[in-house]
Amino acid sequence: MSDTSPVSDTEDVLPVDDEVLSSQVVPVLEALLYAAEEPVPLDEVVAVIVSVATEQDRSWARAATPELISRASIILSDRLLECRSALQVMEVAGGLRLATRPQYDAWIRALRQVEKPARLSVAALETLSVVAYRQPVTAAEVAGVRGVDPAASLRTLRDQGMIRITGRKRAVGRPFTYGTTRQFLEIFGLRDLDELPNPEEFEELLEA
Amino acid sequence: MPRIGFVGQRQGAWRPLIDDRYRVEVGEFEGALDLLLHLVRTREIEIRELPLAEITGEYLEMLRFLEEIDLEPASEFLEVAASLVRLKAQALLPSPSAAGDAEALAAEEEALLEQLVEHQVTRLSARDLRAREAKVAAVWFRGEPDPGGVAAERTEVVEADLFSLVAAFRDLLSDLESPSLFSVSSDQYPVAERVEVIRTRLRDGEPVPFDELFARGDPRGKLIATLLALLELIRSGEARAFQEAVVGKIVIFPAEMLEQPQ
Repeated sequence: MSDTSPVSDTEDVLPVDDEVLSSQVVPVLEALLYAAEEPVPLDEVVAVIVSVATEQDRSWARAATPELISRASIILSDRLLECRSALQVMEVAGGLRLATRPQYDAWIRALRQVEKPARLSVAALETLSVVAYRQPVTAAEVAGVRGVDPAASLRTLRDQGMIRITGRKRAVGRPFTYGTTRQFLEIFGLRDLDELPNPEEFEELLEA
Repeated sequence: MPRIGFVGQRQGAWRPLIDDRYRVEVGEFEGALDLLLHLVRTREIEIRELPLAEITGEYLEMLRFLEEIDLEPASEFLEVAASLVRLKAQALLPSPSAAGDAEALAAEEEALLEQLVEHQVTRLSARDLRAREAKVAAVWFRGEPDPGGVAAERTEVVEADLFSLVAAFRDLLSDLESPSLFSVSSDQYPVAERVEVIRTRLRDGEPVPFDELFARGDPRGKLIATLLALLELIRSGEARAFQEAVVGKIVIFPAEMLEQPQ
């Protein structure tokens, strides 16, 4: 990914050379991701970088576009890989985040003294997948697909912050509709809902 | 009549019962579609190609067996049973007088099959979510509170569903049951006691093969009480049942954490 930065006719923006990108932008991104406790949306990274870079009068201040930060995050990823760092850059729930690699799970668990974590029941997961694919969806619609009363699962999922009430359906009784939350994306490591496999893929699996 | 047993209880709390008789409502675990799927899967046939009338016998037999061992099928099971019986009757007696009926019935079967396919897709996508959850759980972020995710499961085994457990139990029952002229119900064997027995076995932290929970020569009522006790432990999140593929051996694992979300 070493193409030149996007050309802009309207603004007088100099392309950022690789040296500047690598020695200035990448470390700034790394610092931000380290400090953040949640995935940072690309736009937010851009806003922060532009504002501070402008303040400090950096030459590349105005060139800090989402594209540039994407390039910086790729460089950061490669760099972490090259130096065999236990850290990696992840793209999750619409933002960037630093995380450890899975092979260090056992060590971290020992440090933090946590057992294997709790997990959702199969019933809750099935309900969750129906909500994820069909949102906004009512309890009755979920029941129609699952064939069992989803009330308890829906409650659990709400308690866990995986789903939320998104509104009400224009139908008799004006039932609540449910949708997934940002936390759902985070827990399941999804960039966005489009990253879920297509239902047809599962059907093909069935026919294979 | 007050509802007895742990029907509707989600906290996994152990509630002693007035007469120590446990009624497990099957619908709380799995629905009629799960039973149909279970029957289809054991045939290794593509769902849409299965004439549903063919599995009517097995379906009804399973329903009868569930009742026999004190598992109460929810009403939706009976609705599906009724559909199956209609389909079966139609298949046996193609009546020329009722062409309209046949059409309606075909549509009914079609709808049921469609629902079955959709249900299977949901199960697969739940499994996909599980895998994703496991992948993320092994990864740590700064500022991450104690995890709500999942430890990676490295085995190929799948969680055994209710009907796999019941089917395995039925196979065992004919082997183990002590001959008795009287049908002894599970009432005489307190499920709470059986729960304690299983709990003690699981306390070693070692997995226990499903069939080893049942002793040869035990009366039927005791065997049934043991199954109900196991279901309660699974439901409360203390134990989990895994199976190698659909028809494999079932093994019971102690759950690592007691306060699992249900």
